[in-house]
Amino acid sequence: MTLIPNLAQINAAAKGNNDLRETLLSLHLAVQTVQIQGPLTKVDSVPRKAAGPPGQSQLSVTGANGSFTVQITLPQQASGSAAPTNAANQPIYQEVSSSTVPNFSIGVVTYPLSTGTSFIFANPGATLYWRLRSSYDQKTFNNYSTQSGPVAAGLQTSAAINPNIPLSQGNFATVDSIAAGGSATVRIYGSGGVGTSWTSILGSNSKVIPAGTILNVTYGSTGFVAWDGSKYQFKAGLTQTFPDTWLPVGKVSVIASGAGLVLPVVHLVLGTGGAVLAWNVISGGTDLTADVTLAIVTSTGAGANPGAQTISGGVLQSIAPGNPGANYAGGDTVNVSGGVAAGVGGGGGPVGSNAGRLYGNTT
Amino acid sequence: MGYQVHKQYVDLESGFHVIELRDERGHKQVVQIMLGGAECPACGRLTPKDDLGDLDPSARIGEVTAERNLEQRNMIAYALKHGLILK
Repeated sequence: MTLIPNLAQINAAAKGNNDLRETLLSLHLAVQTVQIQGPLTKVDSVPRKAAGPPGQSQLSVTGANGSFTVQITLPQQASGSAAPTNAANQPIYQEVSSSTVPNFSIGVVTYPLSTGTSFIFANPGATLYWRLRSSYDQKTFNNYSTQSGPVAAGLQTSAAINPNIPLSQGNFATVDSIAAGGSATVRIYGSGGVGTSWTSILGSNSKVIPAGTILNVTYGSTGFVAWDGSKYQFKAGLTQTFPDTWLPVGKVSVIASGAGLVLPVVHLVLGTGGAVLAWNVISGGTDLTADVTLAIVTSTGAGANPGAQTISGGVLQSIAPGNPGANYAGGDTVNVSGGVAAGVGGGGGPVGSNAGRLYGNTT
Repeated sequence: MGYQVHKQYVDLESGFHVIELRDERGHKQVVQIMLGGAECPACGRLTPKDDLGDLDPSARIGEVTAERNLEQRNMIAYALKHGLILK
C-alpha cells in the first residue's frame, strides 16, 4: 500500500486539537523517513535455533551511591582460551540474580531476562552476592557463574544528587482554631481568608489545595495538619505526617474551652505611698488554661503591674510582685479577665513563611 | 445553588467523616468531622471519640455549607454589580 501524506488532511482531521495534530504529524514524518530509506527487508519471525546453551558470559558487579552496576561480557568478547564462542553473534538472554547469602539459599531475587549487558539496580544500603546464567532460547541455560564475594551498594552521596533539586517547600495556608460549642473547629484556608484555597510551594512548582474545615476537634489539643491528596490529616505527632505523598500544612495549638472557667479573685496589698507590695490571690479560680489579665480599678494610683503568674491544675496559685507603682487607695479593686488559651495558629500564612513546611517542632 | 455535598464517606484509617462540597463551577471545599480520638503513636490505632452518639453531622455540614455560600454570594453580588464574569 502506498501512503500519500497530506498535511492539509492532517490539520483538518485534528480539528484544532493540537495534541492530536502533533501526533499525526509525528506519524507522518516517521512514514516519510521509512519511505526515503526504501523498501523494508522482511525479517524472519522464527528465531534460528542454536544447539545447547551459549558459552559462559562474564559477570562484573560493582556498588556505589546506593546502586549496583552490573556489566556482562559476552562470550564473543572474551579473549584467551575462552574465546571465541558465539561467533555468529546470536542474541544471548542473561539471567542475573542476587542473594543475601553466598550459597543463594535465601533472599534470592531474579531479575527479568534480558539480552542487555549493562544494568543498574538501585538498592541503597544493601550488600548482596551476584550470579549469572545465560541462554539462547530462554529455556536451556548454562551453569551459573558467581561473582566472588559480596558487593555493597553503599548509600547515595550528595554527589549523586542533581544540584538545586526542590527540597525547599512552604505554603500560603493558615491553620487556626475557633470554639464551636462542645468542641473546637480547625480551619485551613488561604490568603483570601476563611474558605479560600491555599497554595503549596515545592521548589518552583505550586499546587492549589482546597480549603478545609475540621469539626469536632478536642479543645486544648495540639495537632499537625497535612493534606494527603484528597483530605486533611490531623495528627498528634509531627512524625505521623511524614509519608512522602503528604503535603505539610502547619501545626495548630487548638483553642481551649472556657466552659468550666471560674475566674480568680485577687486583692491588692498596699504599702507606703500607695505602692502595690503584693497581689493577694483570694481564690484561684478553676479551669484556667492561660494567664489571666489583671487590671486595677483606681482613680488615684498609677504604674503598678503584676509579675509572673503561677497556674497549676487550672488554678491560679500566686502572682509575683511586679512594678509597685504609687498612690493606690484602700478601695481599689482588681478586675480579672481572660484565662482561656486562645490557641496558636500555624501554616505558612500570607507570606508563605517557614512554618508551612512543619520542620521541627515549630508552628 | 452554591456549595452542595458532592460526596462523603468515613475513612476508618484516619478516623474522619469526610465531606467534599462542590459548587457549580467545580470549586471544592473539604469538611471533615473528627470521629477518632487519641491515636497510638506507634501503631496508629485510633480510639473513637466518646461523643459520636451526640453528633449531628447533617447540622454541622449545613452550618459550614451555609457559611461558605454566604461568602460566595457576597462575591457573586460584587461581580454582578460591576459586570464581571465569574470563574
